[in-house]
Amino acid sequence: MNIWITGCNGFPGTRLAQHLVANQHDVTALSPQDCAAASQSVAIDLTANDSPRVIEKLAPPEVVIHAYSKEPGPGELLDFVNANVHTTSNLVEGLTQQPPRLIIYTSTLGVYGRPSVIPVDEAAPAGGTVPYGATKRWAEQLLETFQRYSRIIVLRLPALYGADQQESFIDSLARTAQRDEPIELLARGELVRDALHISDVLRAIDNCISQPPAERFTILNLGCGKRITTMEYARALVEALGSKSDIIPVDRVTSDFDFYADISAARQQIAFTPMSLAESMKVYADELRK
Amino acid sequence: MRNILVTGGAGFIGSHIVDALIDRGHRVRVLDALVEQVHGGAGPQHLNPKAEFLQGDVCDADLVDRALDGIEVIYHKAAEVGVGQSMYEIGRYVRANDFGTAVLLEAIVKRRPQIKKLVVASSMSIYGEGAYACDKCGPVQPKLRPLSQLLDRDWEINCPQCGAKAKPVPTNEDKPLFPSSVYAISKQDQEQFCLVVGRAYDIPVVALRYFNVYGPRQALSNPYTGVCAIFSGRLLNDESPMIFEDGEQTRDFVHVSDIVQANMLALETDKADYEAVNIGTGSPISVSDISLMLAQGLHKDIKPQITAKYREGDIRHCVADISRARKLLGYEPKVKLADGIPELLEWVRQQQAENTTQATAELEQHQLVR
Repeated sequence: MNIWITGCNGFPGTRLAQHLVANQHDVTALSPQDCAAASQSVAIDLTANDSPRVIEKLAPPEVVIHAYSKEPGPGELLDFVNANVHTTSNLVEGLTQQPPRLIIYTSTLGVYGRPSVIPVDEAAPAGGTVPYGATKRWAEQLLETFQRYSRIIVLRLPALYGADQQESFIDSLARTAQRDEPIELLARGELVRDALHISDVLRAIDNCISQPPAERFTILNLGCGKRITTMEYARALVEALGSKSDIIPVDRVTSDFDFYADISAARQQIAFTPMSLAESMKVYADELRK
Repeated sequence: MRNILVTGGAGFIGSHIVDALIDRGHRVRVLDALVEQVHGGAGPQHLNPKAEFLQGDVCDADLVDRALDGIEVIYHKAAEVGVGQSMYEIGRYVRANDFGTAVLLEAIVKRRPQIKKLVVASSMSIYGEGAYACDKCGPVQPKLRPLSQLLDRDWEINCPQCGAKAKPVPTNEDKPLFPSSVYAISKQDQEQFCLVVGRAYDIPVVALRYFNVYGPRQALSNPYTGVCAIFSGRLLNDESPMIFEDGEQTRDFVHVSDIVQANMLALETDKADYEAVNIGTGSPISVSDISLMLAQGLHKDIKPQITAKYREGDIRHCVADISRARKLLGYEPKVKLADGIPELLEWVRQQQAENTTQATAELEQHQLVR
């Protein structure tokens, strides 16, 4: 299958390209830099005003996976608008003349901001006041207007972890555990967090491609599907790695809040079944040992 | 007297605001790109000579920074406007409305001690469908009508809970937003970014959600916006106004002078700071009736052409609940449609309207009219 990926040089994009190529798909990376994981790369800057015209000249794909994003955290307002909204509008405009049958957008659970109840489902208010979450939500809305041309699936992802990922709290725990150093957990380790190993997301995307939902536009939460505390993540990780790290709960407060997603829609519509905590930590530990 | 920047200040609404501000003794600087689609390649025809004029794009960070020099209040009116066109010139709308607003906000934040207020033009389009009531289920907030319903030419809104026909009711600001076009999404983004940044940096922001604005200086040269302008343009060319669906869809037409009134009140009071406020009349009128009023006013015996087609993303009914504007701004619409239309038509008669057939053809080419 002819598949385009944007954001192919980021963590999920790279792993996705490797996975799809390994499964005999013809993967084209749309990226300013060459993407070694893809079958081929097309040099394109999706933030550039002329990028829709470049896209129009390419052979049409069957599936587009739009993974380009500015990651959460500090940054100028303009950077978030440019990376999350402008790229999406340019991509959609460029595809209007040759729409693919399916577009999968990797959005974020961050669109919910701080929800009033957990687990949060897809009907909860989205957008929020943080530029990252707000701009990802706007990109979702832009894609919703494109449903007359293509089937759209928006996957709202939690924190992702896996070898080569540096950003998530699980990866941070893993680095400490690999050094057998003490792991301090704020809020006494009682904070509820949602995270997935990247392989769960790859399986979800496989399912979206092979058996997409019937609706033209679908938003699905992905996540671990359970109330898991940072203490439970840390214990499972230490055990999987065979680490000698002590886990030390500390009283210090954090601005983070309890969060996990209701994934029943994804279970129902794309047969999403995340690994158990123990399974995913074992997979992750095996990756790290390699 | 304040030093005030009006982005888009050479346009239809912006130029009226500039006039009102100068009449009140303020010093006004205008930043406007003079987009050809609106201004027809001409200079700033409605620009008050007492205003300082900077020509350029709000996406130009250096220019925006210069435009803010010495400024205390900003009216952000610059935007690409056109629901249908936004669905295929997507990048253009996102660039101008989202990116341009982000550029402006970053420049404002850098100068925040000097900035006392930002008034941003928002739009009723961000609601999607207006508010409705069902006899059985009470208040409901339907999304766009499903394709199957539109293909059956079944135009009125069904209750999302029981399926019975729902009645339109005035739409207040608490209704969830379901923007259904790229233009509407970009206006929602503009509004939310301004309010969020304002709250974060203690810069008072007022977002005024305009309903269907009409009045003199409306750009007849722009075939993509404003049903009054579009219909008037066709009538002047002795063409029937083309009406989608059955013509019974309703809107809230508000005269530009009432929009100006709301903008002046937003500057004068702090009661609406950090709020989004509807600016309309609260009175619905059908699109067919508007067409007939315009034809009568122009003494043209031309009936509208009811196409029974639908346009992608169009809503059925949306009329403003202006309670919040009354309460916070002391706003009261003053111009009735019957009084405002003759004034619009006087303006229309002086214009050379463009043919809008091409705009409709473009929509059909992109399968946005069916």
